[in-house]
Amino acid sequence: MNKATLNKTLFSLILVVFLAALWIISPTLTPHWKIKLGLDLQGGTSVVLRAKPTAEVKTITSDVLNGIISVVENRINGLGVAETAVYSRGSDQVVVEIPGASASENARILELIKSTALLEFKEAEWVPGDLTLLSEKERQDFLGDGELAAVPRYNNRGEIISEDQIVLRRTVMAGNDLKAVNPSTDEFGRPVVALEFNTEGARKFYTATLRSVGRPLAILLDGRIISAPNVNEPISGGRAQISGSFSVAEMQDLVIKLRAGSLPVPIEVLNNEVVGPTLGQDAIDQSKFAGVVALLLVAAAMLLVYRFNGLLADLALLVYSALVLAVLILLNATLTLPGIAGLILSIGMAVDANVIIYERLKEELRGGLPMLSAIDNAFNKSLSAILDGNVTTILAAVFLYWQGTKAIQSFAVTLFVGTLLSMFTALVVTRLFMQNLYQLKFLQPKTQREDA
Amino acid sequence: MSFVKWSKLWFALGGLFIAASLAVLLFNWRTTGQVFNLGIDFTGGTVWIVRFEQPVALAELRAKLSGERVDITTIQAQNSAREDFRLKTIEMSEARREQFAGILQENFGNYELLSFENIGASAGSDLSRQALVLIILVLSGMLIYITFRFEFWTGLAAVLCLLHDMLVTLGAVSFLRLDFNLSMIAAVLTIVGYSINATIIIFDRVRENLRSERQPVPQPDFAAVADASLRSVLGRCIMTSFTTILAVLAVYLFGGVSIKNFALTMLIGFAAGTYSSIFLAAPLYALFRKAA
Repeated sequence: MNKATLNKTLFSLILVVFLAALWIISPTLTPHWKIKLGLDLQGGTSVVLRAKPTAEVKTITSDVLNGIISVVENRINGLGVAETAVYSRGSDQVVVEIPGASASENARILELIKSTALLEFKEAEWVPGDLTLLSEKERQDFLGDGELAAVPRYNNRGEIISEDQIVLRRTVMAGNDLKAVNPSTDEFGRPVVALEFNTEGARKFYTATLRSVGRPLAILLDGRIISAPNVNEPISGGRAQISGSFSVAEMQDLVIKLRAGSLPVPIEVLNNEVVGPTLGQDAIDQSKFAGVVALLLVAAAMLLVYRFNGLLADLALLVYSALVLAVLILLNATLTLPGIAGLILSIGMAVDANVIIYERLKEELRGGLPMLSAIDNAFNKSLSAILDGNVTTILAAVFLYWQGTKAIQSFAVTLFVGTLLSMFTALVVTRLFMQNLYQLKFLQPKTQREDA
Repeated sequence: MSFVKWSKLWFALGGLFIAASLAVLLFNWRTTGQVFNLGIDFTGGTVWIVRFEQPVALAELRAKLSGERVDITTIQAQNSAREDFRLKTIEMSEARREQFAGILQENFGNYELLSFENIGASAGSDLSRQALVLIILVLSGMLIYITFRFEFWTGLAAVLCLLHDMLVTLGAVSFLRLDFNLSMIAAVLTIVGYSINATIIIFDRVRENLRSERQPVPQPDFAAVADASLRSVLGRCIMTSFTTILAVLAVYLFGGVSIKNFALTMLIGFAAGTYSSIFLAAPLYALFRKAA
């Protein structure tokens, strides 16, 4: 292939890539391809959780983290929100992101996520009298290995009217033998949670109720007594009901939690962030404007300083802008506010390589070389400086990505992609423009006169 | 103009910038106990940004909340003459947060919670150490890369320039009491990654000029080579920094309030980087080579 054909091929190739990029970023032609916005731009709730080791689970392994992720995912999915993300961070953290959730929904989400949701059934007995009249030793004898607790009694408005003392004994079964959990109502129309056990659970439940006839069976969630119904006869068939004093919303959340299962270890909330939709939209509008201003300023500066070559650099900058957006879309990268700042920053950096080449070109022309060989020389001799300079920027971006939070990682990604692509547009696209255009006769003498 | 001949002046100026920065850092540390105005990323705490339905005066808000440990600043709302408020408190329990929201509602009527961020104190404790490790890693990475591509003395001169840029930036951040959070670390690392570019342009020319000496000279005049190299690439060093500073300036002016400090930090850092690349890098290199 001779040089002219090679040039033509490259030229058409770049044109195709540019048009493809435009097609990808076009919101009307490809509406399903758009840049994924971070929560700081589209609004929503994010929660960072830390897993806490227990006596049984001493170290947080990746299995434990994955267990937490799947449970939390199930719970969030129970809310019916689209495009949620749950992923691990570091050795013991889990990040939950829910787009669109408002400040008022935040409290409910937190409550839903952070409870362990361990359902337990315990054999129990009511304290028939006043334990304070007993001596310490007599009390110990009465309690045995049991644990003293209180069961609140509610009136029909949901207020606590009295508390009954109860002794909790052995745990007879836990919530992992459940087959189905459904919202329901009792005979008075109050919200209850209907449980259905699997075969193993049904057998355990039968045994538990058989042993507890005439006594209460306490139902606990995360160590807190929800209710303690009296057992009149052994219950077969594997069905049970949890009634307490729930609101409908509380009952629904309990259903979601029990369906999702319990967390393998307790967790604590490290960070919680809510960005309202107003602030996000403001940020998008402002940064779009800032981006356009930056593009115009940089393009004008290049045009003023380098005239015709500046125009070529501006064309390359246009190609660059389309490419960088298209690549970010194809990478399915999340764009946050720092990410946009990184994009705009990269506009200023993208022309750096052009500047280096053009200044070199001036030197080569001053040395008396004809235009076309001067162009070749300028590109070849600038390569090492451009390469070394960009590698250091990429190095910083890689370190940032490695250690950063999601918002910072987005900045690192735009910086990384921007630096790589700007090298391509400056070294390949601009070079092609210049080599081909300066072959045209009418351009040659004029530019040489200018530089002389 | 000979840059290397005047190197004592440039070193003195650079030294002055560094000394001023260190003085600010030290002063803020002694007077407030904190070098930086640490954001909740580091200290833990809660930040609320609220927009009241009825106009509320800052003084009134401060007076009503004087019993709380809360730091209040205003934010100019977008497309409106109204002001939003940014309330920063120490970390609050959920119950305490509800109580606080109640106080706002009771005294100032309905409001929209534009954003809310709560960070546990334990989350920030590792962060400072992690940030320091990160910066040291990046600087060593640069030193290794430049030593590998150029030579050790070039790398050392470049890293000293970067230290200058970092210290000046951190001094300015401390002086302006900018909220120091994670994005500041990102800004500093970007400054490090970018401001070395201009330095590399110069050293690249030094490398080229040393190679092109017709006959290998046993002891080339490093000062002269450095000076000539610097003069021939001065234009492009200024122009590359200029276009980048233009872009960051657009972010600073129009990018909105959440990103302003991030942009300002980079502006300061890039300006410091331009100074160190032009006035410190080549003279430092000449100095090292003469001594070595």
